[in-house]
Order: sequence, then structure tokens, then C-alpha cells
Amino acid sequence: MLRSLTTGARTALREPWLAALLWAWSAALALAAALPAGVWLSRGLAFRPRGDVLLDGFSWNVFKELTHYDASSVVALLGWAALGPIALSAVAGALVNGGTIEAIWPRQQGPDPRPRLHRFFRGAGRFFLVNLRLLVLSGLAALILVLTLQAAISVLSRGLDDTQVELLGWAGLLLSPVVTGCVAILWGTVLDFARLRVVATDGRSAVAALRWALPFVARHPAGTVGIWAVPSLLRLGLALAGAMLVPYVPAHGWGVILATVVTQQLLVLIGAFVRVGTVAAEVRYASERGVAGTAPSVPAGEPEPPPDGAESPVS
Amino acid sequence: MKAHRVRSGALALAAVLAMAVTAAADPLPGRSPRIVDYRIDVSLDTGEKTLQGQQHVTWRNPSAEPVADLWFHLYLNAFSNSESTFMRETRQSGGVRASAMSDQGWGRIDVTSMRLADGTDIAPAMTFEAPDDGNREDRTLARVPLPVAVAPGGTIALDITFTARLPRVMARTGYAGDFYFVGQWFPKLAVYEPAGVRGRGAGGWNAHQFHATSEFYADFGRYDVSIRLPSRFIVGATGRRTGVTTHEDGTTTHTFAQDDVHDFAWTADPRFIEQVHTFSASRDVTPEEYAGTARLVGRSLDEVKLTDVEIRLLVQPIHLPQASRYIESVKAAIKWFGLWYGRYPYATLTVVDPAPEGGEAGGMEYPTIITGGTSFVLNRWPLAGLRVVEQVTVHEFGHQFWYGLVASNEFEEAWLDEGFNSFSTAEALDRTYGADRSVVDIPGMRLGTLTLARMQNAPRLLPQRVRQLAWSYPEGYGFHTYTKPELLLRTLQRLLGEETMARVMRTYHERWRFRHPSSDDFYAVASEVSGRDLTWFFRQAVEGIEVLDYEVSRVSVRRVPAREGWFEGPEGAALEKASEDDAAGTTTWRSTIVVRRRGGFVFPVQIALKFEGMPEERVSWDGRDPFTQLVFDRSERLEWAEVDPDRTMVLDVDWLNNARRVTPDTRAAARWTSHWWFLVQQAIAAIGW
Repeated sequence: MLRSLTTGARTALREPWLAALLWAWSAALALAAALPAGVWLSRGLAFRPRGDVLLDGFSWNVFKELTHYDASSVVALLGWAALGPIALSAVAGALVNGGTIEAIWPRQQGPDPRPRLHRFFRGAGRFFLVNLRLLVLSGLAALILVLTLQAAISVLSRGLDDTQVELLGWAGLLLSPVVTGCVAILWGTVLDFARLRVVATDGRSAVAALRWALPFVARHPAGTVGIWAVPSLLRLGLALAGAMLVPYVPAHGWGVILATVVTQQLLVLIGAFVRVGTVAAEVRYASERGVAGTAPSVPAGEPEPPPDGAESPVS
Repeated sequence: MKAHRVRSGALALAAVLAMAVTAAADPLPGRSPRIVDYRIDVSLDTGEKTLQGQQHVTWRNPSAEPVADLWFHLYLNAFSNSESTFMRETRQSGGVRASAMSDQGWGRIDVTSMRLADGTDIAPAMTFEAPDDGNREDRTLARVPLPVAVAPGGTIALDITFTARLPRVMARTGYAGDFYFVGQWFPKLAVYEPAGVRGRGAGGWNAHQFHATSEFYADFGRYDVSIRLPSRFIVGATGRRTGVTTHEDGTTTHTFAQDDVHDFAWTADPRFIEQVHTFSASRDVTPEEYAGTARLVGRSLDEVKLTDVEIRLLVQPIHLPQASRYIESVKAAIKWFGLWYGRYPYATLTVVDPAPEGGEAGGMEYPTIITGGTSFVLNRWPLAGLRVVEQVTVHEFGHQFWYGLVASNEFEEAWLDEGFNSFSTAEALDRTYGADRSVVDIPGMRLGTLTLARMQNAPRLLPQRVRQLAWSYPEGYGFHTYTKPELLLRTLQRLLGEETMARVMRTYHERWRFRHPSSDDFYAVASEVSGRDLTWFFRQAVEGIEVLDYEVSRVSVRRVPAREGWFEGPEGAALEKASEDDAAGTTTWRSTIVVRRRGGFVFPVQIALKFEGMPEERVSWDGRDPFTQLVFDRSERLEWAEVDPDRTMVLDVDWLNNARRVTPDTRAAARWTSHWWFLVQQAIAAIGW
């Protein structure tokens, strides 16, 4: 797993354009949600000196007062407006992931002569529909699993309501989010490896890809979940760090405000690098274990794996 | 009955004389009128969760007319079935506590006999009454006609036997496993209000059913209660422990007694860890605090002097690390409430930490016994900075003053207890922990009581009066009885000044300790002490439904055009032309400010104006018209205008619109827009990559 992660990191650094593409995509999509919010905030705050307390951090009172006479529930509207790009990104994820894997996927015949963007968009388009089906199918399966587990948990925790052991009461409360989180991790891992299978086999069957990915993850739980979860935790950390910046760091001058914006965008970009590295690590890990059902292959630029039985030169 | 009347008349006279003597020496009354006297023997069957009680109760008629019946609260019957008024109201609009009975843990109380001194059992004549909603299924209020009316000043004694089944803990009372918190558990007399009390034209019983959103009202007296239960239990109760007797059958009788209280509650749990501490009037209050408070409230040092209090903490083992937080916060409350309003007069205070499964008993007050509430996750940093223990403890202790000593009618004027207590609790918490962190102080987040209260105020809440029957709020009982009163009292404090407000509160407490005030009584004290007629304020803030909100709705600055054209002068008409030098310092700027009253609440306000290079100026406006327009022609341009710059109107729903500047500043908007951009990007990345 560590070897795959290292390979993934090297690949991400070698292909910075991919991370930049992911960043640009998210930035453009999010802008559609941010601009209306900007107009609303500007109208509400620009002429109101009390709004300047928001330069020191978040203020519940000011935020609430912004919406006091807001009969149309602008905040709810802005929330729904943000859901549009987010939902679009889920669909577009089928494009982005297909393109990313195609761009990283190792070629047995040597360096790929096609331009990078050509490779990316070829993969994006070629595997879009199957990736979309994968997303829907796996999402539904994960949802059913979560609902089933939640039902079981609610039966269990009903007994914990009256427990005289406070610790158990809290455990009952935490059980539900913990189980949902575990299913989410499993879902993300299986989905990623199923996407690899699609590209590796040039397949068109989402069911077949899932039928391969599920047992694969089950056979290699530590490696597959680890490769997915460790970078994901890193991305979560980056996101939290960025989310803390504005509420907790005062910024009165334009210079500091711009520096904050740049820092946050850098964190998104680093997150994009981490994601590209994750995909590359998964490619490496799956390739070594015959994802295509043929001889193992490695990402472009990496040394060829040794024949069966021989020790790998990559450590 | 005649013998009763003669003896009780003499007792009443002695009591009045004693009160008069005490009143001359100290503005704080030394004792209550002692209308009732309860002697109760009760045993708890821990298997069946039942109580068997014998109760000897004496009642004195405090009025000038004979009273022909007695009214009793049988509040455990609120939990007897799904159709009691309490359960119906809880189901319909939500109460302050749980909305459903769990595990079929229904409770009830039955009066099995009620005998007069001559042995006559009057229980068969008892009827259940439902004056508030006519609910025939509700058995929380009972009326018993008497064969002979109780004469004015006379007394009547009754021997009552009752059985009760405790409910699974709900709304402040019941059991959960081995934890018991037993409140509203015995037949308790309602309050007979003589003519003149709380504005009554004629004397009569003030008795209400148990409602989902109200607490209690009872009369002062003495309680002497013996509780028999298995010896393994640790017991706490209202009052001082006066005896412990262990029996051969493995049970123990605990006896408690207390004068000058109007209710009795008790608790038992074998897991309790008992700690006894002392609030020391000399060690826990500094000389500077005594002197400062004496100056503030305008009383002598002797008058603000406190007395020692024994604090019994009954804490659950898992919450033991928070014991010091309970003790420190209750000591702070004893100190500040005592200094500001008058010393806590009882020798003991019991603080109960409910069992984890008995949280429904948490956050409740009874005379000299309060329940807190916490969780083990708050034991350690950083969550220890969530001041749950402190807030609840100080708040419940505060009820000793506004429900316990000043015995407000919580059915009809809940704000006199909950609202006054919210205001006082906030003051005590802010003083003890700092105004900006008195509620939350964890890394990265601080919250004070004022911010918390103001967050709940909004112009679009269902308009309702603060002074209305506690069960008549379709929604927003909590806001209108806790938060809005806190905000309106803070507004009054800023309007009158801290010192005058402190004297208003002190005088009100002194005057109404051991009595039953109404809102009008507080209005009268406030106007008298402040020397101002405050009717206009209370009429709007307490009796009215109007929203308070003033805003600077427009500011503009325009160049005043120089005069030009034909003007008549001493030598006839002359043509004047606009000077080319206007820009060189002779320009006049017209600054226009429109201040608007957005709500119906009228409040006299100050308007602050800041012109370029000039110190801040202020103008006054009586606030009556829907708006006022101010126009200034000056060589300096206006920078900003602000209504109520001192933030006197804490009740104002929107402070953001109080000020407006001429030149926009988009920094805050840009900062938070970019942040929103970042957050949406993260969501997109999480889902789409």
C-alpha cells in the first residue's frame, strides 16, 4: 500500500496539469454558487458598519440579522443554489474520473503520443455512461445498506435509551454516524476500483465492474481501503484547515483577505494533487494484482513489474 | 372548629406583629406568612414504585371572608394517562419536557381518606375540576367542600392518606432505575388569594391544572417530612435533615424540615456520592464585593451581609470530575443573587446531579433543592468549556429567588419567575465567567449570554404577549417567558442605568419576598424607584406585541449647487454666476439621513452622526413617527449615521440596520463570499472527484 501511495504521489507531481484541471473545474462550478451569495452579502453588508465584525470572524447575530426581514428565505435559496453545482459535479464526476484514470493509465506500448487533454477527454467521454451507471448503482446499493443498518441500529439503541451506563447511551448515539461513515468509505473504495476495472478492460458493464471490484476490495481490504482512506483523510484535513481560516483568523486589510483566498485555493489545489495521487496509487495497486485480467502493468513512466515470482524492483 | 378559630386568630395576630417588628429592622422580611403546615410520613416501595403517605395539613384562611372549600393539586395524575391536560398539550404543541411516556411508566395519585379533626372523612365529596380547559379526563385539580366554612384568620386541619405510583421519570418527577426524583407527589393545597392580592377584586382560590408549559404556585408554610425507604439509598430533600432512623427490616427513615417554603421535593439514589461544602459569607465574598454592592443597591453593609449556607451535592459517580464546577457555580450564585437581591435565608441547599437515565428530572428547582444536569463528555477539556453545568446550576438556584422567595404565579405570569431568573442568571454568569464567554468558552468559539439571547429574537415570531397564561402560547412559550423578558429587562437596565436598575430589582425583591406579586407590582416598584413613569415601556414590552426595531434606512451626500441667476439686491436685480472655485473648499454638502421605525414599539432614541474630520455628534428623536429625516448643509460630508449608538435597546430585533455609511465597504462581503466559494468547492471535490 505504501509503495502504491508513493508511486501515486510521484505520478501526481509528474502530471500537475491534471490537478490543475480538477481545481479549475471545481472553482468554475463553485463560482456559480458563490456569485449570487456575493451579491446578497454585498447588499446586506457594504453599507452597514456592524457587518465589519465579520472581518474578525463569524457572528451568529449579524448573520441572523441579515436574514431578519428576508421573507423569501435567501439563505435557503443560496443553499439550494449551491446544491445545483454540487449535484452537477456528482454527474460530472463520471466524466472527471474517467478522464483522470485514462490519463494516468499505463500503456504497454510505451509513452502515449497523444496530447494530455486529448487523453483526458477521450477517457472522460468514452467511459462517461458506464461510470454514470456505476455511480447510480453503487450509490443505490450503499443507500440500501445504510438504511438497513440504521434500522438495525435503531432497534439496538432503543434498548440503550434507558441504560444506566451513560457511556453506552453515547455509544448508541454515535453508532449511527460511525456506521454511515464506514459504509461511505467502503462505497468510495469499491467505486474507485470499479472505475479502474472499466478503463482497464475498456468495459461497458457497470454490473461486471462492480462484480469484480467488490470481491477485489474484500480480498485486499487493508490495501484498497487504506489507499482510498488515507489520502481522503488528508483531503479532509486540508478542507478543515481551509474552513477554519475565515471564521478564526481576523483579516481587516485587503491584503490579508486576498492572502486568505489564495491560501484556500492552494489548499483546494493540494487536495486535487492528493486525489490524482490516490487514483494513481489505486492504478498501481490494481495493476499489480491484474485488474485487467491480463499481465500486471504499471502506470506510465514506472519500471515494468518483474515476472511472477521475482522481486519487484520498486520498493 | 370554633376552638380552632380562636387559637388561629391569636396566632395570626402574633405572626403579623412579628413580621412588623422584623420589617422595621431590615427591609428583608424575616419569615413568611406561614399559611400552611404539612407533616407527612411517606414510605417508598422500590419494587412497585409506589408511595404510601399520611399527611397532616393545617391551613389558615388568610382572607377577610369565610372559605367554604379547599382546592388541592394532585399533579401526579398528569402522568396517569394519555388524556390528561398535560399529556394532551404536550402531544399537541410540545411542552418543555419529553412528549411521550416510555415503557408504560404511568403514574397516579389517589386520596384514600381526608379526615377533619372530628374524624369526618370528606374525601368522598371530593370532585375533580378543570377550570382551564374543561377536560373531564384531567384529575390534577380537586375541590373538597367543607361541612363548615373556615372563618377569616381561622385554621382547619386535615389528616389525609394517599397512595401514589411514580411515573417513569418525566417532566421533573419520577423514577429511572434506582434513581428517584420525587416532586409534586402529595396532595398540595392551592393558593387562596385574598382581595387585593395580585389585583384581585374579591378573594378566591387561584388553582390550575397541571399544564405542559407551566410550573407551579403554592403558599408558604412549614414542611416536616419523614421518608422511609431501603437503607441503601442516599437521600436528599427540601430543608434540613432533622433525623435518621434505621429499622430492622432494612429500611431507614430520613426526616427533613423547613419553614417558609411552599413546596417539598426529595430524591434518592444508592449511587449518589455525597459532598458537603459550605458557602462562607466571610470567605467567599470579599470586602470589596460587599462594599461595591452596598453602594450599587443603596443599602448599608449590614443589609447586604450574607449568611453561611451548607451545600449538599449529590453527584453521580460518572460526573464526579464536575463536582467542583457544581460547587463553584452554586457558590457564585449564592453570592451574587444574595448580594444583589437579598441574602438566601435558608441554612441548606441541596444540589442534585440526576442519573444519566433520569435526565427528565434535570434542570429543575424546588425550595432549597435543585437539579442540575450534565454528561461525562463535559468532564474534560475542551468540552468542559461548554458551561452546561454552570448555566443550569446558576439558573436553577436563581429560581430560589423568583419562584421560591418571591413566589410568583407561574401559571398566570410565568415571566415573573422565568424571565426575571433568565435576566439574573445572565448577570451572575457574566460576572463570574466574563460577558463574552459565559455560555461557551472552547477553543475557537466563545459565546456570552447576551449574544445567545439576542439570537433568539426576530421580527417574524408569532406576536404574543409576555404576560399571558402559560398554557395559552400556541408556540414560543420559551422565548416569551424566558428570553424576551431577559432582553426587555436588559433594555430597562440600560435605559435606567445599572445603579437604578439594581435598586429597582433589590426593592422589588425586598418588598415581595414571601409574597405573591403581579406584573403590576413590579411596574409600580420600577416607576417608584426610578422616579420615572415607565408605563409606556411595560405597556409595550410586556403587555404588547409590537416589535422594536429602528433603522437608518438611507444616508446620502450631495453637493449643494451654488446659487446662480438673477437675485434682487439693494441695487436692484443682479446676475450671479456659479463660482469656478467651488471645489476649492467652499463647497457645501447636503447630507440627508432617514431614520425609520420598522416596528410598532415606540422608543425615544439617540442618533449619532459622523462628519468628515469632525467629532461624533448626537441628536435626539422621540421615535414616535414612522420615520424622521435629518438634513444638514455643511462643508463636511457625512460619513455615517447610527441610531441608538449606545445599544440601549437590547430588545431591538436588528442591530445590523442601526447604522449606515455613505461609502460602501465590501471587505466583509468579499471575505465571506470567497469562503462560501471555498466551501462549495470542497463539497464538489468530495462528491465529484
